[in-house]
Amino acid sequence: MRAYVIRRVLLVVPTLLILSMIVFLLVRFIPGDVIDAMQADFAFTAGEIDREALERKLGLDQPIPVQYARWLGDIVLHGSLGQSLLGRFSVNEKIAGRLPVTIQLGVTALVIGLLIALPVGIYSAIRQDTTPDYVGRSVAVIGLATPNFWLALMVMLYPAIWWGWSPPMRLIRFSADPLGNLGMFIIPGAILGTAMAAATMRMTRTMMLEVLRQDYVRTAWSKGLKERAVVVRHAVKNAIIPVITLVGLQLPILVGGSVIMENIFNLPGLGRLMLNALEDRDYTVVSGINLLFGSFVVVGNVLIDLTYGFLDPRIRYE
Amino acid sequence: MVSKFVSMALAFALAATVSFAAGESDSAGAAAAADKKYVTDPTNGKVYTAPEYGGTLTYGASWEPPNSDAMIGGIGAGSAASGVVEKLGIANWGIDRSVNNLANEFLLEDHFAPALAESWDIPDPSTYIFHIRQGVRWHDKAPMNGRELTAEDVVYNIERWRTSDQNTRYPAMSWESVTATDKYTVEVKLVDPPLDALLVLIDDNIGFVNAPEVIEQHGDVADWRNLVGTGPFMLTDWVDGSSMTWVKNPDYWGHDEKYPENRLPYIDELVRLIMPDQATRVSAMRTGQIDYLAHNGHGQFFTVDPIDSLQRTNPELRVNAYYFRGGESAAFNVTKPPFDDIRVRHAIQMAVDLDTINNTYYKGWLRPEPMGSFQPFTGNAIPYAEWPEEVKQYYRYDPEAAEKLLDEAGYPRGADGIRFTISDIIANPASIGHREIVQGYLAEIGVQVEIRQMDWPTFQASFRGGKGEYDGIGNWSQGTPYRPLIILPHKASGADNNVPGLSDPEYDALIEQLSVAATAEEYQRLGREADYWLVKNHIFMWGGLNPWFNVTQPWLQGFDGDFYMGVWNKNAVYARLWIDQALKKEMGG
Repeated sequence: MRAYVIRRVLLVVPTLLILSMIVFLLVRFIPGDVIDAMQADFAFTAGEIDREALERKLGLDQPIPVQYARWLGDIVLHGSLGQSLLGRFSVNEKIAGRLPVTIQLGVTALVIGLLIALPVGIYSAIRQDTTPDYVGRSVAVIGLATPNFWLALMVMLYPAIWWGWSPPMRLIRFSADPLGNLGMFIIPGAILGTAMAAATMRMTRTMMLEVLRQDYVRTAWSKGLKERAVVVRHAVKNAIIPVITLVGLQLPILVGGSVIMENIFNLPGLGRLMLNALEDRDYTVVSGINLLFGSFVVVGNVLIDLTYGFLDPRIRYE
Repeated sequence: MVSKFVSMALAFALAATVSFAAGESDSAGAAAAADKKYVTDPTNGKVYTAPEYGGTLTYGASWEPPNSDAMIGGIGAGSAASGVVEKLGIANWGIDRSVNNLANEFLLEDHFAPALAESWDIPDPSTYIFHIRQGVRWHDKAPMNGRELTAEDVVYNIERWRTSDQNTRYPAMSWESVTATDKYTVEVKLVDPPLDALLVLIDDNIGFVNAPEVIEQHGDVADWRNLVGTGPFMLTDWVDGSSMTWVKNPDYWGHDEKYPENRLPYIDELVRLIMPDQATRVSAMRTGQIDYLAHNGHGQFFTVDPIDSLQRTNPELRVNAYYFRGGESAAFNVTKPPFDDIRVRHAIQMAVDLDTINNTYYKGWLRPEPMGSFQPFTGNAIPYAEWPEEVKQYYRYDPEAAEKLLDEAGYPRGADGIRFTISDIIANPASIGHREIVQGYLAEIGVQVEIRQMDWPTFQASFRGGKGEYDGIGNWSQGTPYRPLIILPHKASGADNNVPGLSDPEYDALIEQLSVAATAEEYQRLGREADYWLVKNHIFMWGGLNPWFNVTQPWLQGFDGDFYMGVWNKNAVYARLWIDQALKKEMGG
């Protein structure tokens, strides 16, 4: 087990290195740079920009490998993701300020998604082909088919017209008003969560149906165990492993969805920061956020891999 | 029977209660209305409730400033710094709105009021003397702690701007010296200054006077916590990505130019809510979470449909249309076929019926009359009525003549009816509707258009330095309110913002003469001449002067769609607006 963990953790290092190259290069393939973004601002003013001087100042005059080495060197040696090319703020500080919002939104969505998906998926499986099962599956299909952004826009549009109500638009800090803060995140979290719940619910149901037909479950029934014990103690634990894998795979989708939710519900998270930085071609900010998101996914998947052994003692790491 | 009687009695009682309550409320409202005082705005004759102090003004903004130092944050930083720091001059809020409606970005020298400079003299064409206002104090915040503003502070800032290696610097001018001749006098000596040098000095986008001690201590004022100024507001909170809050400077020196007995600002607090999504901004406006959704904050509306929708659901909202610039115009890429041939450029223009587009898509709000780079009111353009017929004819809808021109130019229809295919680069998402209609018109003369939407930096990179790499036509504004020296040099050979890729010795010579014009008359004449050269050679496709819309709550007073206080001096306007707090309370805002 220990050898597997060490091997798995060591494998993270080259993965992150490749990831860093990709996130560094990708943004530079987009046409236009930060100076073009500034230049567009100056189309209707008397001000001017000295492109060559600015390129020198921002280090953009150097060959790409040199720029990459400097960027990576700063990360490895100083833990610094650099300075914004446009706003000249510290990328670390900016990310630290925005990350809690994205995490809170993601966690809210995850919790709501799992609170819906697991009970409904399990119930649908143990009451297969009954009315509640059909209802649960239909709702899941609707959830899968409904685009997040559309639902979010509807929530933003119609309550304002019908009842003169709209979600709060100004960030409420948890420390200042815990209930107000939760109220701010609950709607976007629910929209993100329901989309995630649809797929998770279907997977839970399928896996539960498979497990419920296993011999050991039949044995449990024949021993006279109560339904609750059979389902919770014996079936769910084994059915849940692929579900956890699916949840792990959905993390990047959650991150992607958060960009849209943050924009519509006015939540100042990393998604919105990245969107703005992309428009400004602020390479350091975009690369920094991408590296962070990518690292979350890599580390998250390692943790999920390691979780399997705890959930299913039959799995051995060799 | 009994139950029916009881029901009727209850209904009657309920109705009586409701009508009594309504009557009471009406009479209370009438009493409040009778108590209200009103003023007539001396600049436009409109009536508002009398100015009152207090309250919070919340405005919606579509983006967040990069930081609070205009010199390193680009021009957008002015949105954070303005209102806190000030310039030598400011647009005259008291100007007769028939002279300048302040709903554009056009200011002549006599449209300015003194700000940190109480007055200025130009003893000879190369010397500018600024008399700094006495008794102006920096905010009571470390390290300035209410110290008096001096001429040395202004000199420090001009030196900082002109020697800057940061993102933004002063427009190229030849400087001889910048000196403080006494505590309140600054003398600027320039070598062969351009004719708009005074405007640059009093109102450039980096002309904000920052606190020298802060810059000495921190190197810049990019961190908002360090921002100290002399203006009507103090920036006290900036929740990254969410909101910015300014509070009133109780010791501000300024008075309302319209009602000089009133000290500014009126409001206690100014809040900017950062809302990138239009649907979110509209929702906030509908529910009264914001008071102002307009130009200063880039929250204005660029199309008619959302305004129609807002007016249907919230008829109480105030809507001001204004004509800022013709954003639906486009540059022809003249560096390559087919637009290197003027006949093709004429044909494309003649295929589009702007009058019909106005009557349908714009519901009558578009101003289709052709113009060049400038709106005629600026005096920098020859009005359409004065154009000769041989030029006018190419700006009229005439699809048959357009087809004939394309045949002559060697672009006959193919077997599939198509003559050629072009791209239409759209960098402004609000343009899609208009451009799809244009696409339909061009299809009728056999020109196939592929609409390509891209963001500004991508588009900018495609024509950087006049290289004209993009195909076809590209989003570019015409009918702007700016000065000739801001707009016209962009089309000179090799200029960074040369969208059409123009490289013409005749035009370049005109720009050269314009930049050294010795008198205002010569400057204007050359500006008109260069602009007309662009019109005559059909370098741009005219798309009409499209309306933009500002929307405000009824309780916001003193606002008539006017917003421009100088280059990126955005927040200065909010110091001059006030909230009718009784009305706001009554309406549940």
